[in-house]
Amino acid sequence: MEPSGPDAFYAAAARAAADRELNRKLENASTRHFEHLAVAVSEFAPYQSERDAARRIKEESIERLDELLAELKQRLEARGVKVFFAEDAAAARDYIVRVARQAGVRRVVKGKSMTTEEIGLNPALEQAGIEAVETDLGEYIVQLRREPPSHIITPAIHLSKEDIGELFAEKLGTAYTSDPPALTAVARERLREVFLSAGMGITGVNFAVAETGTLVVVENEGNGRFCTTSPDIHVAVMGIEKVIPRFEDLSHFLEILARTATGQRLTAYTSFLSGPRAADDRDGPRETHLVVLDNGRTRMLADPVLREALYCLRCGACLNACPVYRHIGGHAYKSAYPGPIGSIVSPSLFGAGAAGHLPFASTLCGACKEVCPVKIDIPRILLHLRWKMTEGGGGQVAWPQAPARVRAAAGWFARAARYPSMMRAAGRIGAFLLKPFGHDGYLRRMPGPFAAWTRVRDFPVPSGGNGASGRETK
Amino acid sequence: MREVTLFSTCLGEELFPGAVAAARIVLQRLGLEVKMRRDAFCCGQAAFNEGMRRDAAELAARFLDTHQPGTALVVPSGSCASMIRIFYPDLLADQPALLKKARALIPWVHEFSEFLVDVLGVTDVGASFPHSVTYHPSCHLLRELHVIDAPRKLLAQVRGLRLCELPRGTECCGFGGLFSVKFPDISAAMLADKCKCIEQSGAEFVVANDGGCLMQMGGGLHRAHSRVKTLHLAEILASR
Amino acid sequence: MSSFDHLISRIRQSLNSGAPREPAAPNGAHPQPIAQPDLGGDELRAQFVAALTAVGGAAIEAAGESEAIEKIAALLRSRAARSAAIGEGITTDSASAAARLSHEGINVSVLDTCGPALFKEQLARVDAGIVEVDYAIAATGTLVMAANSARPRSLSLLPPINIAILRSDRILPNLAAVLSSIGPQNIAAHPVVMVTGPSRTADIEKRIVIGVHGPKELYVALIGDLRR
Repeated sequence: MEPSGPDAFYAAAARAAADRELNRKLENASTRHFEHLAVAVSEFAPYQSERDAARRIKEESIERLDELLAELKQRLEARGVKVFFAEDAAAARDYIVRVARQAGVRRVVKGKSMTTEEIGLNPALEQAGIEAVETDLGEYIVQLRREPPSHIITPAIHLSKEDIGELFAEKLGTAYTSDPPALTAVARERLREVFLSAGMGITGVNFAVAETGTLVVVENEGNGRFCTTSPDIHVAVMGIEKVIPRFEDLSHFLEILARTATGQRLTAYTSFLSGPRAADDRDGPRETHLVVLDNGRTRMLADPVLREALYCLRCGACLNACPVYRHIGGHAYKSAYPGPIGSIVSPSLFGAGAAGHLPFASTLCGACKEVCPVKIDIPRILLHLRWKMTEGGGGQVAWPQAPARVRAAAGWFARAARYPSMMRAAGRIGAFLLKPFGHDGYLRRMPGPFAAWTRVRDFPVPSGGNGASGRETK
Repeated sequence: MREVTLFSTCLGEELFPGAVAAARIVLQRLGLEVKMRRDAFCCGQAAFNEGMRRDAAELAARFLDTHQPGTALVVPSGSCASMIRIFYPDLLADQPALLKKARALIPWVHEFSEFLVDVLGVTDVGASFPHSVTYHPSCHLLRELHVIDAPRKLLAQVRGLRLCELPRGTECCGFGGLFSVKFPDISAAMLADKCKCIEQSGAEFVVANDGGCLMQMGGGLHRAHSRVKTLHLAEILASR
Repeated sequence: MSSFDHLISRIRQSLNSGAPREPAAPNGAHPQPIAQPDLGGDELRAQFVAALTAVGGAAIEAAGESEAIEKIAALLRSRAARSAAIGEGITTDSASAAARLSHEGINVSVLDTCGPALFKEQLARVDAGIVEVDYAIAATGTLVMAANSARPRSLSLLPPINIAILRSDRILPNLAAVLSSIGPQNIAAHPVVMVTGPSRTADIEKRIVIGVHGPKELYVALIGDLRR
């Protein structure tokens, strides 16, 4: 899914912000997430030091990215893995469709992968006449609704169990139930046959170890294991930033990833994949492909501030922590990566025109930075991107009229604020004019750029700078 | 007698002069000589947050001309204090002379509650405020400056004050500077939740250390005809 | 120039365009794995059982191999399982285990010579997969399984009941200890899976449901001295 500029965001965000039911679902889910996380973190004393260790390894990995990717490629190719480097989304899609076509694949099973959302893989497969079935329960649910996921870890976080019960009754013809175990059993039954008949499994990659050529896939449902063991062909898709140097480094990441993402000590399954099956193996893919995707990531790499965004483990904690996300949900962002992390990566992945407004859609409250397992300073990067989209040569945002006016007013204010006595005089005039309209200290309506303020809340009557602050004491 | 400079901030001057006056009174009662400089009106935070770094840097330059290291600079706003302490080095990274000035000033910059508790070592300022109060920790104070306990310690020593817990207290009120007017729908939804939590706290007053939060919460509560009033921490500490 | 060379040159350009590149950290300067707590065998065993139970697995404790097989047979009967598949043992004798289970009336598949397609079909119909595991992690209740042709990965994936056989001296304190025991050489040679409880999801309202695509039930037959 790709963002398409600020107009669509404004419309979707306004709709979602007014949807109190959506907010209730997201609040419930994130409250539960943070309860689980608090337990998982409190019982694991080295959590903080492991965050630092993981961060340092990510710093090293990105610093040595060229060398590590070369090493990874060499190790994987030595075991018969086909490694393809895709400059952009189209190159990645075309490659995967070509592999599927050449092998006569009719049905693909997919493990959860945000990278394949980023490149729009499912529509491309469908266009080629290949059925692509999402097998993660949340992804399966949103695919049945023909919707994109609204969260990078919990794709159906915007739906209640009742919503899902109705969906299954309608699309799968099962008797209505809102019981999560019963709904889960339906998906298990339906997908089992699909797993066994699919010709290709496509998954993401959580970590790729350069030293050993190991692809690590972390998941809970067993669908990732199915996708990587049952079909004859496995295609793994990853961004260039997923490579890490050493096998032993994995312990630092695995110790914090599940704790932060889901509040588990470890996820139910951590698969360490080495490539195609050996001659006498009974299972595992006959062919393994790894698609390594750039798609704007080298642009992030070139920017010393933005580079930090490449450390992301895609744990999803910043989404749950973000009050903006919890009020508008993932769909409003119209990006494969919603929420705080999405707002810092989307402009590079999809362009400033499409996503340059997203870094502005934040109060900079810092809740994201606090929960980030690798301590990405998201507010600082948001600020940096705002500068890039304003005067830093990072492209222009096509602001709608109302926010454009606010920005213009902010510019005037900043320039006028260089002249304090002028500002104070203007303040006194404003206060004089507005005072008669005040009701116990507040104004119900304000003109110009302040109208957006009083549309939703009252405005304190300006004082005209006549407080104790008005006198200079020297 | 020690001397301090109190920076009134632009919101403080125009919208919350009572809070600035109160901060001044509290500092004076503690035996400090309080100076205020008229040559800097705004720290540049709003422009900086909007990506207008050229304009922000102009204001920062003016601010750094006005305020010199050597005297403690007390800022009655968490976000203005973090603008100076945390973000000036980013803003001025390419201007070595200003960066040097900023780095020299930074150790002297303190948010109001932090200054009282961590610098002066005072928690009891002799205030009396016989009402129920809930405390909203503003985001920059909490997560940029990491000032967590100081306001609570101060409130705990106020005679007659009953501190009520604010549900989901650390959640942003939805102000976010220009965010509040550029994304009013999202801001309003966040504000509605904050107001609901404030009501749930059962307090008569909600207190914060940031003009932005006070504007947002005060405007939201007033629009909703709530009986809960907003106050700056300094206003409570100045009450006798 | 290949797409790989293109990418590498873009990466080099990008890395050099920012702040000057720091020289690579000297060997050994990277963060070291966290220390292994110094726990005795009994403590490790108790910690493992507690962690396994916490994630929805169950331990079957046995003093020796034959007691373990007895208990597995009893478990299969109690779960109304009629068929099982067993992988080659590491320290245990799976042929005799298979014989014992057959004797108890369980239809035990011997997965020796069939090809991948047939194997998958066979295994999909089996009630329980039994496999000896290489290691376990005490802190997390995790089972570590390195696969090979005689211990295929699907054994612990397709059947709804998964039974792991574990020697208690194979329980290591934490993840770092297990990774260092496996080592970079072995991980490159075999696919490995770490299993922490039965398959689960929290995709519906973040409510935990056990038993999604992988096994619904996970039992660990823990063989070792029982110092009761």
